[in-house]
Amino acid sequence: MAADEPLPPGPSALEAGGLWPSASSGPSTKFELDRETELRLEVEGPAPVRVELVSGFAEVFGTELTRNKKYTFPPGSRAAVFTWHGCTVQLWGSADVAYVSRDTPMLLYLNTHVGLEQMRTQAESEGERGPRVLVAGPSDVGKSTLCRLLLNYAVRRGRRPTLVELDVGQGSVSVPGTVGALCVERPADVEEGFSTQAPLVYHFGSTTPGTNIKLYNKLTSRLAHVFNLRCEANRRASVSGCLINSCGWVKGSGYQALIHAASAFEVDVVLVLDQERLYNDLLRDLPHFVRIVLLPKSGGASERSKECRRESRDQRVREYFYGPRGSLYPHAFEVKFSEVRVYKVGAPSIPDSCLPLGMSQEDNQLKLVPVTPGRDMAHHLLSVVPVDGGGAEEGLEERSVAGFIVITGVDGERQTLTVLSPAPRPLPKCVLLIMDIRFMDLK
Amino acid sequence: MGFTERGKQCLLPEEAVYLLECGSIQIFHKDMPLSVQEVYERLLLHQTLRVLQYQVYSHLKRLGFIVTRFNSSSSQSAYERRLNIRSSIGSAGKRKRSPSLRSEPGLSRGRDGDVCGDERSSEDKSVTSCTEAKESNREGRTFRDMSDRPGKCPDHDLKIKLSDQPTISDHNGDSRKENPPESTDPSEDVTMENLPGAFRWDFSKISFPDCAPDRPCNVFPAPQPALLPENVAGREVDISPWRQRLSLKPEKMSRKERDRYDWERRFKSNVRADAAVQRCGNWTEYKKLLRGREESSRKARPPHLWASAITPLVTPEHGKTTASVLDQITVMTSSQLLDGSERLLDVTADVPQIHFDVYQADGTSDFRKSRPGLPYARVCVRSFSEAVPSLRSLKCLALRSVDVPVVFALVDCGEVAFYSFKDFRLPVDVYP
Repeated sequence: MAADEPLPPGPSALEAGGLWPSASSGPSTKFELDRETELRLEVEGPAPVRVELVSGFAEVFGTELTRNKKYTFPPGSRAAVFTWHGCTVQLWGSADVAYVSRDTPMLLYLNTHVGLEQMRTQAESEGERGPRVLVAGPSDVGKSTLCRLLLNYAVRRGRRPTLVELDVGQGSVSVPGTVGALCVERPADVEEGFSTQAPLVYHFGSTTPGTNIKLYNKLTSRLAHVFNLRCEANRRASVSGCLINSCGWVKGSGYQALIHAASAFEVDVVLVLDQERLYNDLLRDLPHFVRIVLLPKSGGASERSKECRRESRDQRVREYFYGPRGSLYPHAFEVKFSEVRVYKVGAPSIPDSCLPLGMSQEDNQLKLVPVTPGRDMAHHLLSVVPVDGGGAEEGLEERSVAGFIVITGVDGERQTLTVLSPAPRPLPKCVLLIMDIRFMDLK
Repeated sequence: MGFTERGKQCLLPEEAVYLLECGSIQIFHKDMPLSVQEVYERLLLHQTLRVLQYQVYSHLKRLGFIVTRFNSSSSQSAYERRLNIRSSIGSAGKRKRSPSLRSEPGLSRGRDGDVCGDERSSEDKSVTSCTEAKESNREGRTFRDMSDRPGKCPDHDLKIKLSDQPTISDHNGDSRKENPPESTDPSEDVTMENLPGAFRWDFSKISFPDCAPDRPCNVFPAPQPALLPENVAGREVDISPWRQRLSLKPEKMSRKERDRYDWERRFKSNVRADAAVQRCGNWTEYKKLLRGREESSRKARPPHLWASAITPLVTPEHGKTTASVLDQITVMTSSQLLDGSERLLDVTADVPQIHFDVYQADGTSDFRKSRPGLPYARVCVRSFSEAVPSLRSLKCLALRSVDVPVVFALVDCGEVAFYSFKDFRLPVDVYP
């Protein structure tokens, strides 16, 4: 198996609505949308909502809808059907979660795209690299959505931009607890998001960068390095630039991590969503050749509760194993304790007062600590990092992840682990890195 | 030693054990004389006094001090305090009874008389002493509150606030930070000449819809159709209504974050205003500049300090604020003492007790059992294995002891060591 090849096959193109009951059952409503308005959907009930474009043009976060095709939005999802020209939309399901809004910052976002496109055109003619854009802001202001929109518009113009995902909590490239990058070659699927055929993923292990800020910064630098290599090899990717989605932690170390990401990727533009304080701070701490733009958030972006975030994280992991529509079938098998080597990145932190004077424990954060398999490992998510022979374990945390497994059971007597894996047995020659994230394989 | 109750002469357990150890008395239980070991077992293990405390007691006794159990009523009453406030502060170094106190015999006798009268029923006594302690505590609080007012120098000194209080040394650090660009300028100039610091992007031509208040542009022109994706129609847009819609909700910040943020806002220099950074045109040059600065600051370190395996505790980079240095060497956890001085008054279990009052027995002090006056010190007995008391409990003890210094007697396998905390005034930023 090649080092960077992901274990699972991509989500297969099953026909929409395979998982949910037939579409014609619910009540249907027709919406006439004027130009530059959007239909916002918040699916809360137990039943999914289906949307069909009857006439005109419409898009969902920059992806055009196909006429007379039914799109399914499962419970818990949020979407906005926007139209530049006006259109008619048919909606099935409980209609009380849908409303039309004329008040969208889409024109500002479109003009942001135009600015970036001008930069790409200039880069193309000069033979230089294209714009690298960092999207920053507090949580729940639509950072991921803005990234998706700008990427979609760029792809529709024939570019090949890269999405760099630094949000370890709610990432869109892979499961939570990872950072990664994805080369975008076609607009995102309305229901499934960007196609994750061959993402570059690194293990982080937790849902907030604060647990190991040093590792987080190291992975950011590593991603920047790999992206630079790709830019050297692929002219088109270089001209198209990248969009970096940051996480919503914008205070203290989170802010320092943001500055570090800006410097590692050598960003040209920083888009700050909805927070003037952050804008002013960045204006002070980033050099003058970086353009910092303050943008409003969309009214559709609303704060999510902690439970909601946990639910969506769980959903991401479930999608990884079972596919976005439940069309994949993962394997469950047993592995002996002796067959696996499990590590955790970062030793537990010791209070400074317990250390000898003058000793720093900075290096602890990147240390690989072996974990003995045991009962407390159950339901943890683990990253599979391939190793090529030998016991070379240094720099392990900097290697890209091939896939993920979940330990569903531990049998202490027989010394075996039961794992849920996207690929059949045996496990490839690998080292497992344990995450703090747990996943219960229910449903 | 001893006291009279209902016409009988009584000894406190520690006094009895001490006298027995000296060979002055014999103790009988059921007409059988007790050995020293038995007395230890009977009087020290099951009674209120522990062996540790007895060890401290007998140690001090042998040194010639007069040691009594801690009596909160021996701390000054509120009224006395108010009268003697200046003299007691002035003679804080010398723990003799101040002359002003002696010159008011009528006052103190009146009070002492009350206590003597109350000694008949111990319950009553505890009640009065409690109220008195409360009174003096309340007085202590108002005294402290006065000193906490802004504009006055804080004069209670245990208020060690380990937050990022900007101090004079901060300023030094800051000016030092701004100096290097000047000194390293020549070398930078050479590199700058080689690399024309031209901007890659001309942001006067490439425009973004920016809601920042410092951007003058309001109406954004319609984009060129060639740059738009298919089926998308752009048009002219007015930004100004969006400016009002930016989040005005105040950010949630912890106290520490807010302090840090305020500090940064005041003292962190603007990267954009830096002349050397201005000359950089892109990230490569900027990073080179930063690396050069870091290198030069490292070179400036004396090698005999930094080259060997053992280096100073604080690196110059980490020594920018007093708070960061204090954080590195902190032994006691800091606590926010100014937040609620009321909290100090409710005595909880986690605060250590004061055990003994200690008086000097020389000719200068006229100690009398009925009128003990101010003790020389108060002793809090701690075992060596116990943790360092928290700042809050220190504060509580100081409050309970009023003007008398609290000495910690640390007992380690029979060895007694005495420690006390000295008050001093923290350096304060003279800048507003």
